[in-house]
Amino acid sequence: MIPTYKFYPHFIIRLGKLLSLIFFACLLLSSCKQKSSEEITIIWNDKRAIGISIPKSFINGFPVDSIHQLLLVRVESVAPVGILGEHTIEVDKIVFKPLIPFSRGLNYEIIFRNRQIGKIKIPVANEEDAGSVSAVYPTMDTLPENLLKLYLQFSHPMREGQSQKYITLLNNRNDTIPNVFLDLQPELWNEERTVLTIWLDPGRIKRDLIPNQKMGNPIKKGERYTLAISANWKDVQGLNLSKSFTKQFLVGSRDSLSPGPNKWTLDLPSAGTNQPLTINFGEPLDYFLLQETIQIVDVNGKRIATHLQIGNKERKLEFIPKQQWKAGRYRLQILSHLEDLSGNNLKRPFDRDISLPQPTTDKLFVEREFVITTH
Amino acid sequence: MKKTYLYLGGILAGLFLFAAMKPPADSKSGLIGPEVKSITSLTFGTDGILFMGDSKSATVFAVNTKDSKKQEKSAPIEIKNIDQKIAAVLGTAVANITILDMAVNPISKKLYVAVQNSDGTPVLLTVTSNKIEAVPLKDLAYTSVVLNNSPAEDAKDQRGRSLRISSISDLGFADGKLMVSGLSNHEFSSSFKSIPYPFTSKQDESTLEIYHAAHGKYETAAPIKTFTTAEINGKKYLVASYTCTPLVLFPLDELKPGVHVKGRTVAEMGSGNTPIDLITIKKGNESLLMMANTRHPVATVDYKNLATFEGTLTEPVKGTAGVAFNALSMSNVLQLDKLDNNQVLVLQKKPNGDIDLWTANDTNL
Repeated sequence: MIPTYKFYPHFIIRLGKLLSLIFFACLLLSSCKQKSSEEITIIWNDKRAIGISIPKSFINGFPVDSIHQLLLVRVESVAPVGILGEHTIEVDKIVFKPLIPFSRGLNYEIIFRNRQIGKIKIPVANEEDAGSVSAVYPTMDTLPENLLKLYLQFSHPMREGQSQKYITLLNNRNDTIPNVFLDLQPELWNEERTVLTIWLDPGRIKRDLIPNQKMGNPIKKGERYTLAISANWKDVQGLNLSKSFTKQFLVGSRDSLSPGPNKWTLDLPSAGTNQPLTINFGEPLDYFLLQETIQIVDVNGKRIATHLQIGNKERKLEFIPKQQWKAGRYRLQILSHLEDLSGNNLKRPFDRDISLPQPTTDKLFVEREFVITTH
Repeated sequence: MKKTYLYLGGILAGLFLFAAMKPPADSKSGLIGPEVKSITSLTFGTDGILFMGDSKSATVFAVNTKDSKKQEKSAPIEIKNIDQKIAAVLGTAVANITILDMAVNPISKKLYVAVQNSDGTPVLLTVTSNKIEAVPLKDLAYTSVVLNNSPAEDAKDQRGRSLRISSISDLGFADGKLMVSGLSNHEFSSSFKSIPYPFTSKQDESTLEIYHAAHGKYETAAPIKTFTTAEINGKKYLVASYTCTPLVLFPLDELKPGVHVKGRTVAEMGSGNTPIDLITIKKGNESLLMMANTRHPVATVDYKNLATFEGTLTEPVKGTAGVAFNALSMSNVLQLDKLDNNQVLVLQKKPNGDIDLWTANDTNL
């Protein structure tokens, strides 16, 4: 009994200490929690500020169904209008999501019953996230006089509708050449907003149209040019490009001929290997159309699974097989809308002189046979 | 047991009913959500149906706006610095927004405006002289039609591969059909589809190959940038403008699936320019075709002249040629749409950089 007697007071004292500690810990935690729930916080999604969270304590005592009338968010020091968006009432907070994400670098104020209850600042994006021009196609240094289009590929999704401000073509004397690119709105971006297609003014390239007669081709044979892309072009986060980009090129002759698959040379692999099958076009073709217009089928018309590799400045295409080649007959199928750099496709040259016979096809695709053997 | 059979019967009946109510397989329907990736073109059909062209997903959404209260007369809309006002209600700087298209509901005369934020977020707004409001898209029912087949479907289609659209250049609605012109970011070509509305599981669309016949000597693929429909000499025509600004007529009854069509070029509107909008309006008793351009001022063409110009531009010509057109003192017009037969809404960039929305009428045209 005695040890038991001695034990109890100790236990009670220790328990008391423990409970006090727990009590203080809880107090501390609750005060911390209280503090964090007292702040208006920004809701982020994929580096975009898509909403703000406002603690309910900020609007204590007011019925929740009146909140959308009494609470507004607006850009600081601009017209006193509330931003269009949606309020959602949750257990302990009100979430406001604007129609478009809050803009980088802007300050917003939160107004409740005509009184400012808080402010938020959306920080500018981190400059380390800035994108750049990763490629310009065609990659050749000599381009035809009737060059029709350029592709600009960026590392990050870009702001649309701005190309006319940031793309310039300079001649040998560093003068800007006006009215070279077609001002097409909306612009031709891919879905991810990372590749922009730019057309050189087709009215100036099409022979005999008034712009062609008055101004001639946008670029002239024998001249050297520099394509310059300004670093001031912003991406979707509002960041400038990390650096400007230039591409120099010389202008060669007009290309008025359709690509001719029969003139292409094929480097055939041996059966039983994974060697690539290489097509040399003898001229550069459209970088993006190359990836979607040529396939290999076997004698039964079944598509051969391959990886594609474009090389030699878009003059070469390699088919790397996923499985070893088997000996036999194959066909190369080329969709007729494959274009070269001047918009000539397998169906017709870009501007067809209808008074002359033209070697064109009306077929959806053309085929070329080849045989793979064991060497 | 009897009760169980009763329940089972009820469930089966419900399933059949559900199956019968299911929308057509190829067109989607429901409430609009995040599947709208962009709003690049707008046009109204009948009964408050708004067609929204989404270039990023190559889809047209037909949205029931429920905005079908008839308004006979339309009050002119005047909003100075509309871009700043839109930016303010969207909570951003004016440099971050782009107005991509606008369309007036012909029944209610209400103006709908498609705006794009710098990050690509699309927004649809209604605009009156004193209020800019969001259209609550997620509360509105829609059906949609996808313009691009999947590559596998393209390969199967032996009649001819339709061009893969990356940009819807214009939308129009006439005689129960939605018309869509599209551009590709890879091929230099044009797609024109005529799709019956309501959308059905069978996409009875016609795809045209449009060529630009220049002076009887050359012909080229010709992407359509904008178009409208009109009746000339009692016959219905598609009046289209290409990216390199000629004005072209196609008889509507000749636009058939898979046909290689050459438009009759009736005017060349000048160089270094792309057309933005084509609309038909009335000035007194005259019917005028009105065209907004990127570099040139707004031009009008009298339909009487189009009707009497039987020829086509067959000979090489100097300067602008063909049907006479009247260049108005209205430059930097970004968008045009008919408010009613005699009034036109004009979105215009002023010399000081401000963008104003105003209403033109007989006195301005």
